[in-house]
Amino acid sequence: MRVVVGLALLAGIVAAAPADAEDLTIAISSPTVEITSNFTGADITVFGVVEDAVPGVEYDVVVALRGPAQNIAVRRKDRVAGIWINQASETVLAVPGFYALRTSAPLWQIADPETRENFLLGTDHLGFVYRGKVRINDPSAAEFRDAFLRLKTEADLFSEATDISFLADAVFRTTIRLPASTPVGRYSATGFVFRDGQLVARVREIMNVNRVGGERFLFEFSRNQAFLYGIAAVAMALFVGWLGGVLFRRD
Amino acid sequence: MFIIFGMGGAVGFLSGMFGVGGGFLLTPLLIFSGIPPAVSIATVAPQIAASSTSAALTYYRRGQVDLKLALYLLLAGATGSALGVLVFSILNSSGQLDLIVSLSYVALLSSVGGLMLTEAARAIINARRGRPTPLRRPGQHTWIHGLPLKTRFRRSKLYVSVIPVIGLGLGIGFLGAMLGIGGGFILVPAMIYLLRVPTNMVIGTSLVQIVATMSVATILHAVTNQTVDVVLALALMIGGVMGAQFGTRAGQTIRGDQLRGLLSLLILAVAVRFLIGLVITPEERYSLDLLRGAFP
Repeated sequence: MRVVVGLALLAGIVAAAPADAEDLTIAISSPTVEITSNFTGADITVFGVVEDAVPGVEYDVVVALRGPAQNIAVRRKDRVAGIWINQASETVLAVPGFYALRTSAPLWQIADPETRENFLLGTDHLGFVYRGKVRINDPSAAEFRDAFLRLKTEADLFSEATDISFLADAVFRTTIRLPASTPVGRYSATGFVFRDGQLVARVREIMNVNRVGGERFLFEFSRNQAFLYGIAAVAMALFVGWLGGVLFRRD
Repeated sequence: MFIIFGMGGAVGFLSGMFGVGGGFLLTPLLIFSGIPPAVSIATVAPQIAASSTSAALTYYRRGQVDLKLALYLLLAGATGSALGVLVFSILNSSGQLDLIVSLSYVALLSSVGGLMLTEAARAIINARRGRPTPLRRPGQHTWIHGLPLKTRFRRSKLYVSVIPVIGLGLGIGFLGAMLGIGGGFILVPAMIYLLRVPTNMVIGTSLVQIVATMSVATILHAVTNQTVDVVLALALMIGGVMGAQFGTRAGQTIRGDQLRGLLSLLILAVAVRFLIGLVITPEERYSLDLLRGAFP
């Protein structure tokens, strides 16, 4: 099934190829990911074609998948009078809720630090902005950035891997796993093509992760009509309680 | 999902067996199993309302509810739970909710468990030695009865100041909304010993108060913190209702003082578990907290 979809996507890409200098086209296997109540994660495959590739030249490719921006408080526990209490914290603003970087070779071989910085390539170059701090990547908050990256990586929400395979000279593919806890919203997949360390083409595609069915209904109900949602919860509680009493009546 | 169902069942079994609401066991159980305290507490509120409803109706039909007293209690209780939800919300956004919840549970459960254990131990020792348990004969008047604003509660044959009634309702509503407990295990003894409500009226009236305050707490949590999970709540309710049936039967085979002794040990164990969570060095000192809303 996946192979068929992949081939169909590739056929579409190749057919749409314009003729000029190198160009890049990418396609995502499932442009919308649906989160149902039993969602356990999903595999996303990104296909790409380097168009008008010069024969014999080796290209390096990078794919970055970024989830919707979030504001996250990173807190640190400290021992106060024998008890561990959340003490210091930093809030990182507009940081992606999901970040996956896939490369055809180790990133440092592909792009120099300046390019990585410019295009926010790699978790080290995400450009952290902290609430109440003017400087990007303020060194006083490095401790919290490290903790943030570690926890996100442990939760499989942030990842970096040299895991892009070429199907033909200029046709590549990579698979990215979205965990069950992946955030809902708009994702962007950006493909980069490098030739001898120089960026020659870049392209971006959008992917959406949506709740569907009952999951979506309940979420939107609880957010948009919180008061009615509360009333409904109470009505359900009273009904279940009453029903239980009727079913198991002892007197 | 099945684990949740099972937890609801287990707590329902215990609450049926010991004749307690079970919120103070269910909420910690959910927290210990990894559900965020904010969600656990808000979701247990409708579960407590559900598990108290059928019993409240039964007592009401038997005429064992003092509606006037219940009204005073639940108006105060609703106000208390609004305060509780407000404090909950402030603590949640400042990242201190888990700490305050743990500390409160340690304080509350260790004192209640400790009192129950000594009482049960005394009763068991007395029974062993063949002595009758001395019935505590409360004096007719305490300082409570000297307070102004006296009101007559005809059903309970009480003429008492409304100040302690409102104070009690406020306190229970506050604790209930903030900690995810019905508060019956505090309310019932307080009504008996402080207000001198006759025992035949106590349970029915306190159940009505619990259903009402937990319903209010559910709505307020849904509006303010949006942490009520109805799917989780439904699983807990169904498990709880079924578990309670078996628990009641099991409870009838054990003697009252031993039952109370067991319950007090259980309560103390939960308190110790919270305390351990506070004092041992955490494996992970850092935590991430997704903030809602935009920041400038």
